[in-house]
This record gives sequence, C-alpha cells and structure tokens, in this order.
Amino acid sequence: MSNKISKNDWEALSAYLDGQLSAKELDRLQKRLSTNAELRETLLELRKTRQLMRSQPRVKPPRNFILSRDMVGSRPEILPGWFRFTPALQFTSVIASVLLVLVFMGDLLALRPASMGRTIALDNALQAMEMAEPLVEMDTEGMAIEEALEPPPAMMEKSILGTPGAAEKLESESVFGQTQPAEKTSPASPILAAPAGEEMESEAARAPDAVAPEAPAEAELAQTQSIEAFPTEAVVMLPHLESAATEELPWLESLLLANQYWWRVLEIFLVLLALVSGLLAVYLRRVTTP
Amino acid sequence: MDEKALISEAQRGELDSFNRLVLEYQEIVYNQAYRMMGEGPAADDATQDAFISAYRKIRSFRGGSFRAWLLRIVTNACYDELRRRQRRPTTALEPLDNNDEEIESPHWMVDPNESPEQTAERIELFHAIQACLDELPDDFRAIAILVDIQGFNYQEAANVIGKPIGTVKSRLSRARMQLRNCLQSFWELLPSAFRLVNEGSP
Repeated sequence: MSNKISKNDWEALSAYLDGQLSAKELDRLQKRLSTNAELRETLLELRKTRQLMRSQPRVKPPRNFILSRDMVGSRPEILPGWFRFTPALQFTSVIASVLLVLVFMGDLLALRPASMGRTIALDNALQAMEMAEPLVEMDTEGMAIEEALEPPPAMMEKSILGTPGAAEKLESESVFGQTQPAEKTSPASPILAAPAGEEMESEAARAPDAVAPEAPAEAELAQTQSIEAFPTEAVVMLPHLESAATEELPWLESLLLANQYWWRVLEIFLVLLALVSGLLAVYLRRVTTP
Repeated sequence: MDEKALISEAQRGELDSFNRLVLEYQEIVYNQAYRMMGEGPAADDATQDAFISAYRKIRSFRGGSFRAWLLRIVTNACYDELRRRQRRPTTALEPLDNNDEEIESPHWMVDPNESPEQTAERIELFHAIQACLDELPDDFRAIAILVDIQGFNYQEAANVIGKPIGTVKSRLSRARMQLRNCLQSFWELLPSAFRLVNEGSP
C-alpha cells in the first residue's frame, strides 16, 4: 500500500495528525480523504502507529546524574572573547564571496577579450611579416630584417646591452613595457627584434615600399587590426605605428590592462578573505555549539 | 529559584545550581539517550557525558529553551557514539542488569495496578517499538523520539536538531512510515489493547 501513497501524501498525513497543516492544505487533504479509501486507511494506520509511540512510558533513569568537582573541574570553560565575532566573520565571508564573483565577472568581460585580441594581434603581425619576408629577401638590404628578427644570442645581448639608446627607445615606445618585463627579455620573442637596431626600423619600413607595392597594403591592414585588438606588441614590433596605436587605444581598455596586475591581486585577496573568514566562522560555531 | 537564575549561577561556576538543573532534566535526557542507543548502559554513559559537556559549555548558552539545548547535546553525544561504534547496537529482547542477565520486569515498568499479563504485554510492546526505532536511520530516529515519545512540538524539535521545521516534518513522516511498516510485523504479537486503539481526532 505504501507504494501507492506518495511521499508527499505521507508528509501531509503525518502533519495532519499533528495539526501542522495550513488551512489550504487541510482543505485539500480532507477533500482527498473523502474520495480516496486507500488514503483513509493509511491515515488510520499512521494514527495507530503514532498512538502506540505516544503510549510509551518514560524510562526511569537508573541513578542521578549530578556532577562533582572531580568530574568537571573548577569552572565552566571560558570561551575566547573573539567568539563574539562569529556573525561578523560570516558576514565578511559572504561579502567577500559576492565581491569575488563580481570582480571575476568583470575580469572575464573586460580583460579576456583584450587577451584574445592580443593573441590575434600577434598572429596577424606575424602573418604580415611572413608575407613580407620573401619579398624582403629579394632585397639585399632587407636581410637586416631577418637578422633583426632572429638574432644570434651574442648579437641579442649586444643589441640589448650594447645599445642603451635602442633599449631606452623601446621603453619609451612601449605603452605597457613596464608591465611586461618577461616579454622584453625573452630572446625567442620577435618583439625584441624591434629595438635591435635603428637599421631595422629604417629598412623594415623602406624595404616593402621599394620591392613590393602590394605588401604594404596587407601589412598595414594586419597592423591596423593588431593595433585595435591589442596595440602593445604591435607598437613594439612595428614602432612606426606608435602614434596611430596610441590614438586608437580605448582609454578603458588601457586602464584595465595597466591595472591587470592589481586585478589579480584583488582576486587573490578576496579568495583568501572569503576562505579564511568562512572557515574561522565555521570553526567558532563548532566550538561554541555543544 | 527559577531556571534562568540557576543557569546564570551555573555560568558563574556554581555547580550546585547546575546540579539542580540536572535533577530537573535528567529523566528527559536519559530517555532521549535510551531510545537513541537502545540500551541502558550506553544511555547512562551518554547522559553523563552530555551533562558534563553541558556544564563545560554552559557559557555558550545564549538563552532560549534550556531543555532543547540539553537534548541537542545528548543527541549529538549519541550520534558520536553510534558513529564510533560503526554498527548498530544489538537490541536485547529483555533489558540487562549489571551482570548482563535479563531482567524480566524492570522496576520502572512494574505497575502494581496491573496484572502480570498486562505488564508482560506492555514490555512486549516496549521492545517491539524499540526494535523498530533501532532500524531507523539515526536522524529519523532522533525526530521520532523527540516528537512521538518525548512529546515535543515541531518547533522545539527543530531547535534540538538545528534544522528547519520543514526538515522535521519530512523526517518525521518518513520515520512514521517506516515505523508503521516495521510494527506491522509485530502487529499480531501486540497486546489486544494496543491493536484496538481507538481512533481519535488528531
């Protein structure tokens, strides 16, 4: 029979016996009872069970359980004063969690597209340079570009350490150079080719114009896209576009990117705050609840 | 002296005041432990441990129902013990004395106004119900004992287990359903007086 009576029916019948149904629930159940014989029989059995349970006598304790000093020590435990901060800790944990979600969402919405754009910018710039490469190779002076793009370690060192003017120029040209030191020092990065020498700048700008008139149009298109998506590398890679990049850079994106480090710090801080305050609140609750 | 004053004194370390509270509540606490554990010695230990714990933690009592607070302590003590055992205590057909020998009629069950047959029937019912209680999950058993044996209302029971009333409602209905199914197997063995329980209004 119990298989045909649903869990909700059982709950309603049980609450009905204890007078715990609302007027609406009571009315509904009574209507069902008047038409459902099975439900009535179940109610009868449930009532009988309840009466049997309630007919049970109290068990008499075999002895008194009074305590002695030996059993409990001198005084009740003194709770640490900071246990009163439990509600504040719970509140802090909740607020930190909410802020964390907001910051994380902001991070995803504001910074991730920029990062994606950065990847696209690099791809586009590299493609443009690859397209220009065979044409440049035809020009003997264009070899400087290849050398600049793939400099031997010794030359690389020389270009960085030996030409302080170029390095300074890189820093001055790079909008976000200070926030990306790793990229600046990586010898495998083509970005580093830019400050390798002033020769590269002049030759790279001149070679496509001289050799292949079609190349600049494609390269310019890719450069423009890369500037719009993530201008930092584009500016470093192709310094002659610096002014255009700076003009087209949205101020909000610039601000967000410049503060990307602080976003990370904020996220980590909120995670730690939520975790520590939450765990501390749980611990205090367990300590103070017998 | 009223309960509030006794609690305040106990919080200041007055053990005598606390012991007066012990005498007041030891029967209800012991009954909860007895029905939870299903046997006297374990209930005795749980009750004693609960009162010791209650005295030590009494400064964390922030008002409300002291009875519910005590029952929460003893119920948690029973949970701990049951978990520690990792097995259900076997239910003796008859209560055991200190020498682990069966007691036919425990002193608290003897009623001078009853015939020996009536007393035997009552004991039989007592053990049938305890056997069915022992088959319930711990959470359901605690609620069934609180509401149907101790006579707590839903709100008090919710305070004891630290859950909302909806949880009490749900657990109680499921406990009653399982108890009904279990007691059906005892139905023919039950005393006729209990088989013919009058159907009163709720």
